[in-house]
Amino acid sequence: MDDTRDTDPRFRHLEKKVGIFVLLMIVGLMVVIFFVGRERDLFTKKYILYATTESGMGFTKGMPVNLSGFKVGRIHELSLDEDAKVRVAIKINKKYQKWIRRGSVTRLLKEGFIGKPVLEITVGNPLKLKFEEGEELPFERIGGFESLVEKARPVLKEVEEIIKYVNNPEGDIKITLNNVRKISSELVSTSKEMSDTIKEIKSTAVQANILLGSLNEDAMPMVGKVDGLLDKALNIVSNVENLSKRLPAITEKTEETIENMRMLSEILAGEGTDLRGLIKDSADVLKDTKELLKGLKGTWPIRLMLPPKEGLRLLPLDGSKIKRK
Amino acid sequence: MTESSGRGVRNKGYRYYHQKAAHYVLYFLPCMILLIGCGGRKTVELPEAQKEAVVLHQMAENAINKGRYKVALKIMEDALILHSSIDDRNGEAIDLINIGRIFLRIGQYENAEDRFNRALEIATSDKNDIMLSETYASIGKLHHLRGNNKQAIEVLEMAIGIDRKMGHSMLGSRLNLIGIAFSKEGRYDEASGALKEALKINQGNGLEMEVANSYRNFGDLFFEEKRQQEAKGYFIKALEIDKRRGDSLKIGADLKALADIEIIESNFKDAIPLLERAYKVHLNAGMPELAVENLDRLIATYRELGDEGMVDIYQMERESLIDITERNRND
Repeated sequence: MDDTRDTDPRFRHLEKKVGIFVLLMIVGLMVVIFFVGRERDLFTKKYILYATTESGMGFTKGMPVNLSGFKVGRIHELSLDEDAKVRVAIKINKKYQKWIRRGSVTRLLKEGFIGKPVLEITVGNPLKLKFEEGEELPFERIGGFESLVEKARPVLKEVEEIIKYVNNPEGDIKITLNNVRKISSELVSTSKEMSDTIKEIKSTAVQANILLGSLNEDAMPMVGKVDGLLDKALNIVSNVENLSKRLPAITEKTEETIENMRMLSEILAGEGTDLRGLIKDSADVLKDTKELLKGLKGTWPIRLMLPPKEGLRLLPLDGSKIKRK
Repeated sequence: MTESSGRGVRNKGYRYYHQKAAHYVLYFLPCMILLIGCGGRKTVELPEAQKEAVVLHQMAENAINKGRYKVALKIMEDALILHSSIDDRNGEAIDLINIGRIFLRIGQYENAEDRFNRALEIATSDKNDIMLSETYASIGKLHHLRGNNKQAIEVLEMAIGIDRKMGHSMLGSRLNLIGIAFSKEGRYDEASGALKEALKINQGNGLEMEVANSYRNFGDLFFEEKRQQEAKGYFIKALEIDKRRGDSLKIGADLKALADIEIIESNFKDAIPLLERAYKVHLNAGMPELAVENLDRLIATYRELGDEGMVDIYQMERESLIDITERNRND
């Protein structure tokens, strides 16, 4: 048996072949370790900065840290401090330290609305000092759908208050509008009254003319009548005068109302874009999620895990002689 | 000589490894492609009309489960119109068979026959073997229910032939039916053979309802052959499964069958609790006609025992039950 092995040419230089094979394996393994290590930044020099936040929601150990959208490090550790705040230790590649200066802040963002969260560090003021090992970076929590909702909340509240203000029966707008309506109706009736009175004066004057001309004693009561009419006319004139005095105040109120309305439309025009954007974004997110789920459901192997879709079924033909009555 | 033989061996070795590599490529790659193909295959969505028809079928099934057969018929007719409107012949055949089977349940055999004939036309012209087998089986049961067991056997044999050819999972159900028909014709050996095969197939396919049917049919067969103890064993097995499935109709039937064995053997006292249970099951499951049948048996059994007091009690219960049932029917 041993003789066969010695003479078989396939086993010639066997040790060398095995040696080369093992060597190649080791070299391959080292290359893999090197590339994986480089990918995971194992061989680069790093330093640690800290950030403190109220809540640890959205943070995970190992979460990437970006600077201008470029990965510069990872979250090294999360811990609670004495005040129950979350202290985030960020491990950053030393070569990016030159951009992390005073003025830099950290923010928790999401890649898109439903993307994975990332911690971003903004570029600091180049004229100011660099953050050194162990220093504390300021933290701002923004981004994602929740933040948009948060942003929209005060706007919606303001809109709600404006609508309430406009609808309030005791409010300026409603009262002013009521006043304007009242004045306009009063003006209509007054002008009608005036025109009737003038007509009456005219006809009375004509009659008086005729009667005065004859200087008849019978004409005297007519003179009295004219006196009464003139008094009435004077009263109306004084009423109109009073009204005209009230008009500047009414005009002022109306102007105020118009100004309020203008402010309201400005607010709506300013924040309206955000609101529209928010609604559109939400609709897009829902649509995308729906499509994503639909796509996932049709994909192997997920579709194998889902219960089979119901199809047309034949009613069972019972193989027994029992009759239902 | 040694060198040339060494080279020969080396060449042989290389050839061997090349062959192995070629086999690998030949077998492994197609497998991978097949796997990727299967993986990449998208699920085919049903057209809207068919989706609607599926919903109608589910609604009809719900109605049947609640015993509302007229509603189920109406819904199934709607499904039939829907399938006809999109020329879905297979759907039409399924609807017609289902409508026929509902008519079978409510004893309207002429209507059932009409629908089965229409389904048969579609299945034959479209060479749809599954529907053909289902229609034959349905017609077979119709013949059996009308008491024409010879014709039932002929038609069921056709269904069984197709099922055997196609390896249809419902073969066990057809064998159960033909077993009953054979038994009614007094062909006990053939009945026993069919039922044995039915039991084996139904157990293999995990069709519990049909397994219970096989046991019950065996029980009936042995009962007719006056082999009461063997029959009793099979009815007990059927009862266990039916209880597990919560099938009140069949639980009551199994209990009644067990009581019948006790009555045949003059064990009237043992028959009483079984009949009382059967009565209670059918009554509470909303099957008053079957409950009345159980009461009739109970009254007869108490009479055999000479217990006239209990006879009177159950007689009164029977009358009031018939009265209530009539009133409900009129309402």
